Amino acid sequence: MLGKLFGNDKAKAKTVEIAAPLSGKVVSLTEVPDEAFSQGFMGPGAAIVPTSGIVMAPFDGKIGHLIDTGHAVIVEHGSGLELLIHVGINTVEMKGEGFKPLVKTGDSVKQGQPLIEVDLDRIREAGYSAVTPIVVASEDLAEGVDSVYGDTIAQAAAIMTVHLKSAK
Amino acid sequence: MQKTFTVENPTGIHARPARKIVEAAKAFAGDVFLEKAGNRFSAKSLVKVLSVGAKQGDSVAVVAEGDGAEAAIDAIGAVLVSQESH
Repeated sequence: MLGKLFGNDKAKAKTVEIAAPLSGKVVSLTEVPDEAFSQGFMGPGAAIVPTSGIVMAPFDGKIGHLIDTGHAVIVEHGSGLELLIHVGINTVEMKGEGFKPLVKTGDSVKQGQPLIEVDLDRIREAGYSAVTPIVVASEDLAEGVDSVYGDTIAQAAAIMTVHLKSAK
Repeated sequence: MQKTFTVENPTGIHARPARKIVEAAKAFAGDVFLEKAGNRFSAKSLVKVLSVGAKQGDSVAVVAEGDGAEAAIDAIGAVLVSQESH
């Protein structure tokens, strides 16, 4: 009985934990050298200064959209939460060079599944920042995001916790 | 009503311009759609706007009805025809 009650509570939990999609250092969005992200215009979240080049799924879900130049992906969670992982700043201008997508739009993915292979050296040699903002794209669903700043490794649990609005 | 715009940004409608379109669409109470090549997408969802896959030179129609529809369409059109500078 109690177990069932707790089970129900858990099912109603209104948070989504984001596992680190990359190794590196989790920083505040305010440190991202792009006003669209740093001022929160792209949605709430955090960023990773990456040291590894394999972007991994932050939770079980679906690929909502993979940008055709491979530098950004939106992963959809079962709750409706949509998370945008945008590798580097202005990297759209690299026109896909240095980015090898490993999934496509509509694919179902498991947490930890590789999504994009990124050549970080190539991004930096081309003169772009590799800092990777991770933001909630369906911001109407989110009440807030808690982030744990500092060094992380890919797949570390809950570098961000998204609190969903209770009314849905 | 609807108006058709030609995308001018050399990198197309990627994450940042797509977000600007969503913000402009959300300022309007009613439904706003983007149409390209016969496919219709809600302008209020970042995923949907990115799904349009609009490239430089593409024609995109913006569709909305009701009070304020023209202002919303023009605001979105302004993003479609703008070129980013860094």
